[in-house]
Amino acid sequence: MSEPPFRGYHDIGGLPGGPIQQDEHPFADWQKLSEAIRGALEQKDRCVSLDEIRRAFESFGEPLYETLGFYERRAEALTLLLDEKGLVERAEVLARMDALAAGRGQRVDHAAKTVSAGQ
Amino acid sequence: MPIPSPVPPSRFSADAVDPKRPVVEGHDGADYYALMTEALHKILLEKQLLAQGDTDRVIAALEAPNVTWGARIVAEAWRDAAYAERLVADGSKAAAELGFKIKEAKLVVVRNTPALHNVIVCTLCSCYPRSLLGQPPWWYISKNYRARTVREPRAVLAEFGLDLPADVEVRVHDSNADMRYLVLPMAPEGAADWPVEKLIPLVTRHMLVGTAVA
Repeated sequence: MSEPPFRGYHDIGGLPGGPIQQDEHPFADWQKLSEAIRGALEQKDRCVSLDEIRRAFESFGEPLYETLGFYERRAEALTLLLDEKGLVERAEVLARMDALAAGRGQRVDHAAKTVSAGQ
Repeated sequence: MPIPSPVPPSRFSADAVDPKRPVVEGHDGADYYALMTEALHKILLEKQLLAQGDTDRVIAALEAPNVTWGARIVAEAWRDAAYAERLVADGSKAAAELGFKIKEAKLVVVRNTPALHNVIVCTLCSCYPRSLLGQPPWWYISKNYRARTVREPRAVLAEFGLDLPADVEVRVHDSNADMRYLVLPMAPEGAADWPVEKLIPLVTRHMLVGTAVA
């Protein structure tokens, strides 16, 4: 027993935790769309796979993994993966987010990952 | 904004991770990721990596499976002992007999008995028989459920209102990319004589995960 075992931050089985929140939320439209984009890309050209998405959020860093909810993690991983594959640049996605928000009088804070009312 | 460079996974050591650290689930960023998803979809359409309607078809396929599909399988097993045997021997094949195609992985059915109770978790992510039951409940994908179920299953089951006698063995099944689990609950008294339509509403999603009994 010289070396402790390697353990990814996603490998949380057996760690302590608090009470389980049992309340249900609706499966939001954006969450469905995000899952469907991945599914459609996988079916069409097999250009992303669920295993690759998992690898992406299992390596994008513990702070992000801890902060984000389940579907948020998957959405972040999808964007990272498409950028990595050279299919869609992440910068282009972020710029489009800014443009969409501006059209609605909103502002995007990419560092804090929030959308808020404009000035 | 630069692409954040991926950070290597943390190593589980006394220095890196406090083992007493509570496992928290964040829900930050829903608006942000809703906007990111919308932006990404528009770009994918423009680049013709996706066509209009592609995602609608996938959404329809995501929304079709539901708990009554799993309940149908259980009802059949409750009525037909030979089917129950086939189900436990090869879940995917027995599900297909009733027209349910388990697309994502091999379906493994675990049967409860008076001496054994089965419960399902996915500690690493969220593996769940989605093509049969639909999206998992929120508590199933929560970090607290994922973390605690393998360590203290009886305490977790008690939180769901299920207090099992001490002489009942509790067996926890940790899903992975290649396997999806379904619990076959014990049948209520007399179930073998009831019609399928009467049995299906008795089977809940909790029972199929093992957080409740029939």
